[in-house]
Amino acid sequence: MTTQRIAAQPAALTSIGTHLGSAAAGLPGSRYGRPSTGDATADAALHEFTARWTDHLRGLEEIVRLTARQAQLTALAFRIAGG
Amino acid sequence: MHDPAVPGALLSASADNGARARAFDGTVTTLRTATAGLASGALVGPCATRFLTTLDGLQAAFVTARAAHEEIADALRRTVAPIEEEQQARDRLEKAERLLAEARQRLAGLPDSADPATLAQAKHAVEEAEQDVRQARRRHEEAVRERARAVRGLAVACQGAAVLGALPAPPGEVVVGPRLHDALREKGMRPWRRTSRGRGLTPQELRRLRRNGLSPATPLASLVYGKYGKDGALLDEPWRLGPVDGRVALGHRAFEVSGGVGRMGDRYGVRGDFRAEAYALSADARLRRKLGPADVAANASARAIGADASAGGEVSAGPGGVRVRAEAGAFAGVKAGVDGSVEVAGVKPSAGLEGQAGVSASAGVDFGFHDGKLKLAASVGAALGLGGKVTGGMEIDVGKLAGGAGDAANAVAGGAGDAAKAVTGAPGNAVKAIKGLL
Repeated sequence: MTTQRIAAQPAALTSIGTHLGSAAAGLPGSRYGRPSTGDATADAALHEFTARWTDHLRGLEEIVRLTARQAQLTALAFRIAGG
Repeated sequence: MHDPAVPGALLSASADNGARARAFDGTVTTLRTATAGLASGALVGPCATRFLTTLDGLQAAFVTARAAHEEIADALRRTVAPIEEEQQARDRLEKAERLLAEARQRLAGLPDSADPATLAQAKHAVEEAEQDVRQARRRHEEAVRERARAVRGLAVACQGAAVLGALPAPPGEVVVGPRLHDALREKGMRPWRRTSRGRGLTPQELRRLRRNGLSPATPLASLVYGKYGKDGALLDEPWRLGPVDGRVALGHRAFEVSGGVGRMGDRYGVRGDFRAEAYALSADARLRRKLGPADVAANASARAIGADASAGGEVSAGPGGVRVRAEAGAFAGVKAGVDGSVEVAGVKPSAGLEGQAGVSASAGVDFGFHDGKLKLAASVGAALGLGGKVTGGMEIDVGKLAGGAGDAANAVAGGAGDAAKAVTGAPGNAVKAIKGLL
């Protein structure tokens, strides 16, 4: 790979975009409730873990979707360019 | 005492976390496949580097997510048995205590004249029950310690696994230049050669092209345009006070990168920009007024506790005009400045002055001709301790200036005509001579 050249295989790039789109769609959501251990500290820590990761995973999912969309658009750009 | 712990619910939560962890395995595999595809040539160049950086960041994030959820699944599962055992031990202790109370009650209920054998049997039953309680209590205390140890382990695991890394940055925006071919043809420019002539496009892509007024059968030049922006502020509010309005931002930060090759409006060329900004407090104010024939504009801005960096360049040309721009600057500290401009008859000089306290160095020049307007702007600034920045520019609307000159000529002509009419009784050839001069 060189930074002096820009090129792409649009079909392969489209496939990558599709894969990433599927990966984003297949990410698990947060469905389980708030089980208790009977200990306030542990329950709070477990809740914090779940809440933080739910937010973080939502952000990661958004980035995977965005990357998928950008891969598709880049593929289209190169198709139009005759790449 | 009510115990809210339900071992079944904890086991279910453990299973959910385990399922999540396994699902992340699939995500990581997909990301690895995508990364391998990019690395093997699906995309080459700076944009490929950006994509790969993002995919590497995502992979690392999902590997961490997998490990974190697996760890919590294990920690949750490890709490189930100790909680169940503690609850069972507590039940046994309660039962033993109940039996002891009953045995004691039976013993106390015996009359003093009771049969010695019956009395001895009741006393023995109390002693046995007391022994059972002691044993149950010992086992329960042990179970309580085990439960506490397992639950503490879960809390520690949750606290460790809830420490998250930063989200990876997306690769940036990549879009297709709109209607480039049509614009090229319209302006009499020669389009670049296209090798595939639209083969291999999906119906969806063809529809998208049609929506943008593009034809896949005709040769097209490519426009790969990159842009990435980030902005944010704790507080960002507009304000207005009479004729003056502006914005005030607290805790502002900004990061922006953009680059382009190809079409920029109706020109074609190369452009690159970079901007980074971080301020604790920034405020801007502006005033626009029309005073007679002049349009007056004044701006003021202040930045406190901040940093600033910018770089940019552009060379572009086309039938619509030309632009050459170069600027670079860096600043750290506090600054405040004013600038203003006045426009009269198509000529608009502008000037600005900024006072700075901190460290800075900047210089820039911008020259262009577009839509019949000639623009020239330059700036230079420096500070080491106290310093400043001076900006100046001139914009000339050639069409307006020519029109203004015509109006001026007409005004002179009209004035001269009036003067001529006022000279009553003057020789007619003198009037003709004046008109002839005009």
